[in-house]
Amino acid sequence: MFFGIILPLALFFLILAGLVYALGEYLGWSFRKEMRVEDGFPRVFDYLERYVEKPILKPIERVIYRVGGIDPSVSMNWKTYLLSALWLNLILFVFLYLIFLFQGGLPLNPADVGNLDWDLAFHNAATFVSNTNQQHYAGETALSYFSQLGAVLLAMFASAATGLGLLLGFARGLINEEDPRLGNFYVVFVKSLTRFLLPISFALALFLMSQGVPQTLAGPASVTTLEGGTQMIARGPVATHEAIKMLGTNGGGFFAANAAHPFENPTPFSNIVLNLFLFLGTITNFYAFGIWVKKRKHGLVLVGAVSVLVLVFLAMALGGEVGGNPGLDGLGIDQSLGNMEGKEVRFGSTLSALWAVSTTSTTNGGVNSMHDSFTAMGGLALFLGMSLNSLFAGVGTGVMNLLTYVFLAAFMGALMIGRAPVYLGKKLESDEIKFAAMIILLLPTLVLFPTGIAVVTNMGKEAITNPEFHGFSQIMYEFFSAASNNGSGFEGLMDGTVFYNLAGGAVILLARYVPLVLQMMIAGSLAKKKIRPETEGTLKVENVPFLVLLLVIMVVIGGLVFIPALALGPIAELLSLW
Amino acid sequence: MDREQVLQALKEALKKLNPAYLVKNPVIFVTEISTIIVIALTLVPGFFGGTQGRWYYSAISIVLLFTVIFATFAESLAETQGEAHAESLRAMKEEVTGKRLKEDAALEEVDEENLEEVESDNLEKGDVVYVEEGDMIPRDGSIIEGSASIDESAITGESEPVIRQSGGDKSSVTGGTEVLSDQLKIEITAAAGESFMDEMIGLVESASREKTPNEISLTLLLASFTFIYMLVVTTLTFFGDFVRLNVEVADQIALLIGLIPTTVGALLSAIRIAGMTRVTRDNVIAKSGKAVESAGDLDVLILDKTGTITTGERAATSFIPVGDADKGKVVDAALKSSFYDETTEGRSVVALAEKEEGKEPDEEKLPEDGFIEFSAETGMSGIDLADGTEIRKGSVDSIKEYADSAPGELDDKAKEVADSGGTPLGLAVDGKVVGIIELQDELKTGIGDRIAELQKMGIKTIMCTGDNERTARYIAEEAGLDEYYAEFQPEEKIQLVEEEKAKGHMVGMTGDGTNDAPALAKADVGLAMNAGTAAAKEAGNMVDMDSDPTKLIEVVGIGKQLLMTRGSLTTFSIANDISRYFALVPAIFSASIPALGKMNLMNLHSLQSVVISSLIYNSLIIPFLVPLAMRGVEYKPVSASQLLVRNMLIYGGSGLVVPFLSIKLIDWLLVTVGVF
Repeated sequence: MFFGIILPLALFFLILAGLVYALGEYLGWSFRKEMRVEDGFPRVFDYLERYVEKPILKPIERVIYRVGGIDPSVSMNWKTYLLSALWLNLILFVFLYLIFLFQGGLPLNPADVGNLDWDLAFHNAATFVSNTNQQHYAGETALSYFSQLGAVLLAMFASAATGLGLLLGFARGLINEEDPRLGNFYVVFVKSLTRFLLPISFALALFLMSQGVPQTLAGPASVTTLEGGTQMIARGPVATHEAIKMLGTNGGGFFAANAAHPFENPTPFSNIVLNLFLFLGTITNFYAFGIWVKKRKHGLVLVGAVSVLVLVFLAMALGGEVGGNPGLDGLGIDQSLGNMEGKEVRFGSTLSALWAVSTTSTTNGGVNSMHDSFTAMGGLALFLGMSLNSLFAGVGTGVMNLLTYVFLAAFMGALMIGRAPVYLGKKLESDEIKFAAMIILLLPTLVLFPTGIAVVTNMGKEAITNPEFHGFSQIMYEFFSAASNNGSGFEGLMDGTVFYNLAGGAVILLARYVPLVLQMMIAGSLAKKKIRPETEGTLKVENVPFLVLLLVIMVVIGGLVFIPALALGPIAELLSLW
Repeated sequence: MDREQVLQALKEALKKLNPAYLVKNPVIFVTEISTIIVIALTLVPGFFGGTQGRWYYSAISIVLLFTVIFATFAESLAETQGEAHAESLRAMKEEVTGKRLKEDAALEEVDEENLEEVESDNLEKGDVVYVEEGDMIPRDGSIIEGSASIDESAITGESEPVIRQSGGDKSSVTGGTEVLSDQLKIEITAAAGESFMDEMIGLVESASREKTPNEISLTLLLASFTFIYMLVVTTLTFFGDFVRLNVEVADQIALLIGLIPTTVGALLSAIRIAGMTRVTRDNVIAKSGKAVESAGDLDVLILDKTGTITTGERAATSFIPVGDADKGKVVDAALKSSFYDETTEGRSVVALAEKEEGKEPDEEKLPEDGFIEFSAETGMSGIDLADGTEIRKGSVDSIKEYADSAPGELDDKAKEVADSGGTPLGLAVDGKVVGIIELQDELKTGIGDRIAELQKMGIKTIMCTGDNERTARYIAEEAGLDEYYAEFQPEEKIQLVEEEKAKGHMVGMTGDGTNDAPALAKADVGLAMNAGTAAAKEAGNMVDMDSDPTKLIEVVGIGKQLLMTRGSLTTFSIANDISRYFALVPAIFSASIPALGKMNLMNLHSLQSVVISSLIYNSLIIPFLVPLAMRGVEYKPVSASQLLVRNMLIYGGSGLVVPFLSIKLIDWLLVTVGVF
């Protein structure tokens, strides 16, 4: 138990912490000009500035600005900033939709796949443009290489850069002193790509190729099996896809089996590295956010609060998956490897549980095992992650989502100490609280309401493959995954129908863009406010009491509201076993 | 609180049940609608396919009805209390007759013929009235001529009469106070119905209507929680259909009421009204609830030295011999010179000397007609004794001028006194300087502790004084102030307020003069003194009827308490939810899904007993917490983090535990009594 599970996991998190520090400082440093932080960075970045930033990055960025017609000196107010992002995303959405609809006639289609139906094309466009990556299709048979590269890969980069771009604008709103200008969205968008997403993905892709992940434009390989038959083995430009899929909290698989597929995730080593990058795409944002608002400790408090929950859910999942199914114990079945149904033998139950919790504690949603086959307790842990809006959530959007809870914690905390609520010196007034409350109530609405419709209509019910509680879990998971922009599948739900494509696509779009609009409205409102200096009487946001308060607010307000619904699915399943 | 008040509150509470009124309070409104639905079920039990008997629905509706009534009762009880205070003020606002000048005339030339009697209600703003000894001042106004001593005890409770005079900062008079001596010409400055009493009464009434900014945010938040829980509960109908779970509408309603924050929803108005009432009880008129809330949030207080930090009266603190004189002689001379001196300084010299000498002087040797009063011309006062001895005291310069000889160390000693913030008085006997009387501006009792408390709360204190640098520094150090400004002109205050505000601080200050008015208006909380000018009172957003600048510190406490009470009860209310998940969810679901019975950690009796117990708890906790809501949670002057931990533990912790225990207890009682 200790050597098999706890020690390796402790090592994993230790390495993760080290990488969060290194890449977090780097991300913070990359945007130091926008956020007006000059010092406190590790000295090595001086070399980076001298030998990489000045001679390489800046000239490249200048060329991009010129080609794209971007004037970096223009600083936008919240409305322009938000609209720039929305326009970009809308154009991307239409572009993706058209590619999926007409991919059969487009180049790079060696396997000669056909066009997608209009409803699936809609769902696909929605899911990739929004960084959700919920897949109602099998990649190897449904998408051409052109779609994989020109649509999916493009959107994976663009959606993550959109998230970072908006986060930077949001953070500017917090540090601005009575100044509505949040910077230039396009500049930050470009820099997110050139400095963070592209270089790291590039390195990761090279590593993956070393592990055996294919990177080719050649069509499926045709091999003769031992029996003398012919088998077509799907392949393609997988390594690049896989890299940004993890770093960008995207999670959409090149193949239907996602990271359980040996071409996406061939070895236990590649699995661990991918799992690290799954977290890094978003946790580094929290760390860098602390740098940007000039309170490194606050960034750590945010990471700490969420980590507590992640560890609790991980313990639950490990208990379920490593412990196995109590129902089978009585039948004399050996479960010393844990619950291995739906899991890859090369990963085993521990790494599968770790991945599953990681992927539902962020909006990654890629899977290396089948969540449908998890034990009731393991499955419940995955639900809980998403019921808190996927905790660390996505690149950029993760911090903004957590800040909604932070605002509520700051509000409640301030009232408890007899002060008017303030966050980072900015007064939280009824507008901010109103918008934050709207964001909070969006998730339950987008999960419970569509689930309610699905379970009473035939078009909803015909997709389930298990009866009773598990069937209910399948449907609810689908909408949890969509509404928290997670994108993972419980699998087992036959979700490629018009109903699920349209309902899922709509939920995904609302879940992504409504909060972004509200968050940028908050940023706009805060930007115009004065910053109140901190005194002994100010609620501190960088200490343990605040961490606890935030945790309580997240659990009680965010998580517990789903208890009645979860009681009918995973909780009922869990308690039925004992 | 007497019976009558409670009955009055109950009557008001029933009136407030009107849904059109309750809709302003979303949580309680939802509770009321739920009540109506269950009452309907009592009449037609099978309407939603329910299978329970009428007694069950009627029990639920009765408990729910009580929940709503307790909520409205809490509000009207607070209102009644505030109203009672307003009522006592109203009683004082008796009708008096004012003597209006028909045409303008100088004060000495006012005669009966030039005056007409007018009921105070009929006086208009701008009218000039004449009052003399024994008259009531008909309405709030400003003295344009004369000075008089006035008994303001009706408003301030202070029996000591105060002097009011035209010009300067003491020209304002309040309707309903009595002139004790002399005559005044007063210009009425308040229109009918806008006097202090009317404002005070108006405040109590508006406090019950208008939500404060923070309360609006909190209400929004509570409303959105309510919306979420409604969604959670209503969608159960659909889910139940799928997993063959049979949930009764009445039980769903019980779950909903258990989850929505009824406790704090019920108490929010009471908290606000009681907070405002606490302010008025302190004899402060806040012009808006917002001002009170802001007071809790101040982090810079600009305090005047005199009247706030010090009593404004100088008192003798030591006798210092100079030259070859011995201490006993100095004390003796000081005592004799001041024996008939009725100024506070003189009194304090006598008191200190008597303490040092240990005996009272022989009065016979001190001829009263030998006393020489202070004159500005000589800058001295003193006494000529029967034996011809001349004793003089006065400013060091005057004494030096008077005396034939002054020891060289006089100047050094005098400077020492001045350096420690004191004022040296020279003392001479028969033309020879013998010593110095050290006078110090007296710190108000306990002011040092108050300042230290403020600092613990993170509030910066800045003292402004017209005094010289040395005195200012000494007082600032003694009282423990953070910053001070010496030789400060009142006109500079506005600049100081603006500077602090530009740094992002919330600034509070007190003031009474016309030249304070711009700063009072600019400050987040400007507490004007009632004795001050009309302009100052107009500019400030609070007026202290007692004219005690130290009140500002108390107002800060009340503001904080208002916010804290709100926060703490919200925390309590939300923490309550956790117990509901473990009581109601298993009870309601386990009939159809037996496995969920394992969540019934409290081992409660049955579905019916759980629903009824939970609802009873929900309704009883409201009256139980009303005293806390009205009194306000206890406020400790400690740092923000300590306070947060403390309140999280107390109110979060009890919010978690109390309902578990209470629901179990009620369930056990109901079973023991045989209801179930």
